[in-house]
Amino acid sequence: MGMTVSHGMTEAAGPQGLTTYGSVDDQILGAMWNPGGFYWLCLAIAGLGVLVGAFSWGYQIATGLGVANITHPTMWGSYLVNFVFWVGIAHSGTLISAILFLFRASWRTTISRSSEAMTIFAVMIAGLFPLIHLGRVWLVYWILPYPNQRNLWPNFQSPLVFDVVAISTYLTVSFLFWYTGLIPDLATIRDRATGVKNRIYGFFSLGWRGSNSFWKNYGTAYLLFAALATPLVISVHSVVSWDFALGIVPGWHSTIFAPYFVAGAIHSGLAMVLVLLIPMRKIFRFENLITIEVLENIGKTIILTGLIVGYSYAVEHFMAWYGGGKAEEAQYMWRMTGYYSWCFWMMIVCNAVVPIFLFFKKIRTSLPALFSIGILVNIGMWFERLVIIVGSEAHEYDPYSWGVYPYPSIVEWGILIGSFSLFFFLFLLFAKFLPTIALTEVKEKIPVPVRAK
Amino acid sequence: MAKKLAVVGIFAYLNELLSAVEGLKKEKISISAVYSPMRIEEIREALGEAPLGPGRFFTLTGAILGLLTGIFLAVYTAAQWRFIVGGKPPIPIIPSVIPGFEFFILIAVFFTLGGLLFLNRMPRRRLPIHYDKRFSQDRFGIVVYCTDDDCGQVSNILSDSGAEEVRQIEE
Repeated sequence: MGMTVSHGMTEAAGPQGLTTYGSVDDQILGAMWNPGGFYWLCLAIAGLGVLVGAFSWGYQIATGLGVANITHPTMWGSYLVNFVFWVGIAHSGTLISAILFLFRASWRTTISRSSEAMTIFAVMIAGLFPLIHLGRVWLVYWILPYPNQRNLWPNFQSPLVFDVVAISTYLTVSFLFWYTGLIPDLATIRDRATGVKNRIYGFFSLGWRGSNSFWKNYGTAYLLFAALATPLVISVHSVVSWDFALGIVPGWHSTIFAPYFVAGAIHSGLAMVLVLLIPMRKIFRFENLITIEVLENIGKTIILTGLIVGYSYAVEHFMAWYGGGKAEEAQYMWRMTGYYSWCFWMMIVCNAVVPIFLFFKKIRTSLPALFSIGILVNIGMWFERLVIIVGSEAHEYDPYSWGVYPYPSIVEWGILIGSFSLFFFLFLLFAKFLPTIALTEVKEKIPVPVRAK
Repeated sequence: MAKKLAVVGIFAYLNELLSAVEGLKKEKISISAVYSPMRIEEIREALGEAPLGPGRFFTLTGAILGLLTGIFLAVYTAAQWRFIVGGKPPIPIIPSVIPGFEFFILIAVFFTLGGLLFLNRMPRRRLPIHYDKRFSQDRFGIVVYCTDDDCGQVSNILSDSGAEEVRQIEE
């Protein structure tokens, strides 16, 4: 390689300490090839958790759905709680990669790739839960619209079919958006690697070569991907919310569900970004790329989503009282005082109260505080799904049919642990084999090399 | 097939690359490609290219097809089922909006990606001979196809502009 070309200084909020394009490649790809011992320990623990989940699901398939503690009237139990939770986690990736891209929020540069990966893994895991809950998972193809001799079709007027269409579209679009963004970086790795690595990365970079026409077509496609992904991300959790809102169950049948669910989804997704990125920047020594300013901006966005979520909680309860429906009123009173009241209050504290502390700059710029708030918001959002899904089913109109979902069985715990482990396992594998920070986007953020004549 | 002559100039500095582009344009020499490790607006402006490529027409085609596909699927399956419930239309409009919207996005994205691959002639197994591995890392490049008569002139323009390496190739 020839001489090193220095570019000068970068702006304060951008990637720090990188003055050449070569140093960008060296740092990001260097961390990828040599992640260190702690990485392997984390991968082994996550792998063990995946086995626990796989064994639990296998046991359930062999034994029957009765091994889960789901029973009438709480037939959706923890599996659908997990489904909605993971769909929610998937939301911040597209927010960061698409919506912030359209708004030209430059602080997204160093976190967009990881957040997109997080989105894909979270949607994949979310998609597993309806299959897990199906019991006879081998009949899942019945939901697909294919011509068949019985002339039976999925009912496209059903919110459950909306959900299948929305989630599979979201997974496909998120994956293609992520992969398209990766192509130039894969070409960079191809050009630096030799032997088998060169061939593998060469195959996946599809012959990319970065000429002016390539970049023009790429820029057009990327902009259009972002423009298409933006309404999609809003629609996905809206559609998930209609699984509930289109039912006449007290606690579900509400017109605010779509914006309320979308805000909650982004709330939990951003919290998960903090939980993932704070350790990642340490493990991969990315402190100069994922700067405190970037994490602080995520914290500020969590304040916004936390306030929307808090407002939605207040409005739901107000409308239940103001609307005068007896069953609705009883449902919301039961939420605050009944069997799941501890989950309800935990949800209020974690999702609406804890983020308020982020108004203080000292907390917003403290890594332990941000990490803790990330974990608390995720716990709160899991409980929110439990309160809405299970709590509403448990206390419908007729007291004769009331009943509670007591607690997850050991199989359900195993599957829950497995889902989190699979998420971290996939993310760790991604960090090992692909650049977790977009090389070309970071290069765009450092000043171009110019020689004075 | 007859081999073509080309001159490749490799640059470390953007201003020198841009001055080479200007120099070539001034002499009315056609530039085949300008390479860079990432998108750079100044290169696009120097070449006088439009900000957006023709890929957007692929997206529009996909969006229209997707919308029609989604609505057709919802309407067709409802018509096949013929489960008439009192007071409800057999083919409802509002629930058709959701498959219509989702397919609109999905097929538009497929066409966007298809357009990108088609316009860039990807996937491609082999890179062109003039391609230098440094183009994806930290160097800029200009490729000009030329004849025996004008290759010398092109090389001079590139060298005079500050290219750190100029080479003539056949491909």
